[in-house]
Formats: sequence, C-alpha cells, structure tokens
Amino acid sequence: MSRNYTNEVQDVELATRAARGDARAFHDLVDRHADRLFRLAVSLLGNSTDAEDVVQETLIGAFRGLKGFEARSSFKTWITRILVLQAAQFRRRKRPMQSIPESQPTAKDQPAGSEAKLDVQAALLNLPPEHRQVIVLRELEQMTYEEIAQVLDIPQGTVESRLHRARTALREKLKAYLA
Amino acid sequence: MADCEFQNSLMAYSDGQLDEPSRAQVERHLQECPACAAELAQLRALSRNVGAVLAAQPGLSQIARHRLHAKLDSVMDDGILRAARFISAIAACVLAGCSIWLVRGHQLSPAPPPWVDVASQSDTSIASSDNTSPAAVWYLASATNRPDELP
Repeated sequence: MSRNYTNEVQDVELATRAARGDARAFHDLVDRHADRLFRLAVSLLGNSTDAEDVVQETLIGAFRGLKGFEARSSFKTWITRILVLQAAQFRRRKRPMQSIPESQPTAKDQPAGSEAKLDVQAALLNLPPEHRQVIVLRELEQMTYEEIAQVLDIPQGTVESRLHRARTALREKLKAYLA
Repeated sequence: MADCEFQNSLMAYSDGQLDEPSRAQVERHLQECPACAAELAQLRALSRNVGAVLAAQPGLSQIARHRLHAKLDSVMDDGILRAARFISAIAACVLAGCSIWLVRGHQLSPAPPPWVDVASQSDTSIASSDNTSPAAVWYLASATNRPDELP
C-alpha cells in the first residue's frame, strides 16, 4: 500500500469526521496540510503575509464546504483547488502584485546560492499567473498533468501547453544556471 | 532539433507522464539523438532548480499556525452559535404558535351546555326540578358553597 494512498485514506477519514462536527479531526487535517498549502500560497503570491491570509481563507472555506467533499477527487486535490481559487481571487482583490526586480544571473552563481534562489523566485513571479500555477503545481506539488487539470479545471492539453510556455520563458530567464 | 519529431514528447517524458510504449520509444530515440538528449538535460536541470527553490521555502511558523487554529476555533464556535440561535428561533416560533392556538382555541370553544345556563341562575332547585344532569347540580353546589346539596 503506497504512502500516498494511506495518507489519502486518513485524510478522507478525518474529513468525514470533521464534516460530522468533530473539531479535533479538522484541526488534525489542518496540521497535515498547513505547511504544504502555505508553501504553495507563497509560491503563487510571492510573500508570506498574503500567503497566510489565503491559507486561512482556504481552510475556513474548506471547513464550511466539508459536507460538499464527496471524495470524488482526493482531499489533496480538493483543498489545493480551493487554495488556487482563493489565491486568484486574492490577487484580483488586491493591488496588482509588484514584480520583484529581476537581477541578471551570472554563470558563476550556483543554483543553491541565495542569489540564485532570488533569481528563480523572481523569474517565477514574472510569469503570467496561469503559467505560474502550472509550474508550481508540477514542480512543487509533483502533480500529474491529470491532477493539475482537475485542480485548475482545464483540459489536460491546456496544462501541457501552459507548462511548455512557462518552461520556455523560465529557461530564457535562467539560462545562465542551466548551461 | 526544431524538426525532431520527438521534441514535443520530451517534456512529458521528463515529467514521467508517458505510457510505457511511448516512454520506450523516446528512450530509444534519445540514444541516437544528441540534440534531444541535450534538450532533456536542460528540462531536467530546470525542474531540479525550480523544484529545489520552491521546496526550500519555510513552512508555516508556529505563531502563524497557532493563529490559524485560533481563527478556525472561532469560526467553528460561530457555527455552533448560529446553530443554537437557529434552534432557539424555531423553539420560540413553536411556543408562540402554541400560545396563539391555546388562546384562540379558548375563544372559539363551543357554546356551553344547557346546564351551565341553568347553573348560572344559582338556584339548585331549578336544576334539580328540571332533572338536569348531576354535573350541573354539582357545579352549582360548589359555586354557591352548598356542599350539602352535592349529589
């Protein structure tokens, strides 16, 4: 039995108990997913303050909508979808996100260095939001194309074309690190 | 490279999204196409670097986690309070409905039986002489404090 399957079974069990009013079960679910959701939100929004707000809104929305979760998709996919929607709404509500000024990467920098990290983050934040979504879901969450399509509610072919465009743009911006 | 028919499969191959026959086909092609092999290496380097940077981000701090749980508790309490208010409102409606029904029921009660009219004349002799029901006599006797006349 794979670890993912075991996690999913435990998630569904906790979600079922939480939907029946078991507050402890919902807190356990939060502890299992909070870090992952927070990293995802930071990756989508670019800062931890906004990310914390979006995680909070996501979990409140999930709590209120638990009865609607019928385990047709995995709990992870379901809650990730809520977060991605909340992040998109948040971005629209708030002022347009200020782009981090891009620095020019140099060949001597290594990807593990802090400057390289900043460059990668800047390159990600400069992607159009729909391209950033697919890259983050793929590279951070390691989701399959099918799962990404479920989370974003778009055809799988669109996932592939967005991923292709996003990677082409990233390769152009980060070519110094990829040589 | 731009003309290579496998170019479009490289990304899906790198992401592990090809089925077994397609994967085997791409692997055979990679052994004889240095351009595709170089392209694949670039794709993998990009994924590795981007994935490493994204995964290295810190998780939720303890303070933020505590804030989050506290907020969720307040949302859950709000839910319980709302449910309690809803139930109280229903109970109040039921109570009000019952009260109205009782009051109206009393007002709309059927006309009193004839012995009540008889009894209201406060004369037990009439009631007795008319052979009215014993209940009328009992009512009149108790109303006029004459227990000795109780049937």
